[in-house]
Amino acid sequence: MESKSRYLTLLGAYLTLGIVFFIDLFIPLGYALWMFYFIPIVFSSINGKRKDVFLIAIISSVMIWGGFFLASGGIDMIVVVFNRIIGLLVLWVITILVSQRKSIKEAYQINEYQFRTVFEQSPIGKEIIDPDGNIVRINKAFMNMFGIEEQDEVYKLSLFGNPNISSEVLEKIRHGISINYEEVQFNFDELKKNKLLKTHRNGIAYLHEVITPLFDSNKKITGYLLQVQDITSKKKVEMNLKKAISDLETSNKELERFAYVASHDLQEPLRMIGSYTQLLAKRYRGKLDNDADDFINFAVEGANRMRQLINDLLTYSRITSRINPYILVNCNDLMVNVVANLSAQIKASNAVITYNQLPVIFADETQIMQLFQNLISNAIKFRGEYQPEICISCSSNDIEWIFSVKDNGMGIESIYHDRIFVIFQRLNNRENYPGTGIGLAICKKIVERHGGRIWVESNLNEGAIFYFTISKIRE
Amino acid sequence: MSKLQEKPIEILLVEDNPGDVRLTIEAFKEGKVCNKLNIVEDGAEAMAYLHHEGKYSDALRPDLILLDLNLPKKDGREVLAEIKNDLNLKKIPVVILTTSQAEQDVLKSYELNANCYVSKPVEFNQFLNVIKSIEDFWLSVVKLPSNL
Repeated sequence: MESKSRYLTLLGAYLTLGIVFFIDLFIPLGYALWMFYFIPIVFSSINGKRKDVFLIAIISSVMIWGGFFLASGGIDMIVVVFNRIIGLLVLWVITILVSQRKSIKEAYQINEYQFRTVFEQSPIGKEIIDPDGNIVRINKAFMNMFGIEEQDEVYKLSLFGNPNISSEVLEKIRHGISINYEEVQFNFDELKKNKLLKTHRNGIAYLHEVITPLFDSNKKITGYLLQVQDITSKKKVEMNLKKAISDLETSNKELERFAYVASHDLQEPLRMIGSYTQLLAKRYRGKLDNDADDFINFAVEGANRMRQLINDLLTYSRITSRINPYILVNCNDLMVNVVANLSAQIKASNAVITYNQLPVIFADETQIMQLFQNLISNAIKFRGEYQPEICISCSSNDIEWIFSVKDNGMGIESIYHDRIFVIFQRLNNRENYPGTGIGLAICKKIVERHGGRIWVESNLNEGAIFYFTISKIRE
Repeated sequence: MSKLQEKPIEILLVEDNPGDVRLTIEAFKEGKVCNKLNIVEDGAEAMAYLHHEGKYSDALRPDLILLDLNLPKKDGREVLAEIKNDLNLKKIPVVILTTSQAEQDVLKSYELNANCYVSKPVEFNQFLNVIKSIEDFWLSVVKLPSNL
């Protein structure tokens, strides 16, 4: 134990100090007395602390001077004083040198302990390598990472003989460049096969390695520090994610193609049905009996509805498949176009459309126009007894714009507030309120594509306010 | 049929869908100008007709060709190219009449010197109007080259 050896040292030091003093008393030492007094100093420096050394030095000094007074005369006073002073001087020089060496040694030991702790206790695998590439030292984390039980097994692996690191990288390392080498593919099976490593790990691991050269004060390479982390699980997650995304993209493309082909190929037979029933209606209306007229009408209307359904389905499927790049859209200018597109409907119903200062947003222009058009067209279509008044406004916060389309129409009962956004859901009869029921489903999809949400506040016969948000956060 | 001309205008309709053929016939029946609609069902027959081959040896040269693009045997685009590269046939106006709305089809047709490109409307009444427009424009407004 440290303190035991310290006390032994000090015991020895004080003992020798006492002996030297007695010698000095009876046989006064000449100028060579410093030789004798430095013995306790050196003794105390073996395992003692700095303060022990200084204490001995102080006591020695007192004794040296004391010896001057106690010693018997016979010699020239000046010589004696001169000898004592030299003695003291040399004693203190030695003391200081010894204590300096001690403090350097102590600092070194603290440093050494710190380094060892950092090295051993690090959760990151670390290796010290000599200038030839041979492994000198490894820590526990390294052993665990590489599945090594005994330290000596790994010493066969050389940095410069590692097949997993490219020769360009090794060249850079030799020239003293630090390397941050991601994703080294480490093949355990290969290494085991070539008897380079004895490990219980199998297969391939992905490692993140950082190799740093170690220099001496002359900038010469004294070795390398290699730090390594096992990122295999992170890599696996990445690869699974990539595959999932790729699968989804393929699936999406197939669905798009399917939707397009289905609606495209359905058009032709539909055209035949529609056209010939209409031709029948035209050519034979009134010439067959009333039943025939009714039957023909039902057939014609059925065909028309189917055509509309197919068109709507195509539009719906294209919202995510036909992607236009986002641009800055001035909603005020957009509204001018929307009103122009709906001019026939607006004129026929005498509707009044007003809008407050609308913002400039970052969005898909075609889709936002479709969104406004659907909402306003609905507001006009589902009007009440009064002249339709439709007001569009917008507020915003840090993360989104919140638009509202307010009307004074027939309103919607609260139990239906969720259903209306479902595809092909209708609440009213077909004769008075034409449409397939896809308008709001399209609105919802567009809004969701822009990172927002859509909802309605309304009561029966009290008009409705449709709110939707557009995200400000660009991805 | 009011007769604005003594001799009926000869029209060649190249169309494989019998339903569409009949619709076109019915639509042309309501036309102002006296016309005779001749039908062939695929691209090969079309070229045979135009070259007076086989059973078409007595066929008259059409004054107007209505050509569908997607045809069996020889594709409409090929037929168009052949017609417009033939010294004798190139002066016959060719109206592409097809369901396709694809940009590349439109471009290709005009590049091959089609006289115009008409997309068949899905809705019946619109289809009738389009046929009437074609008939009106190409048979009464426009001057067709005389056959020599």
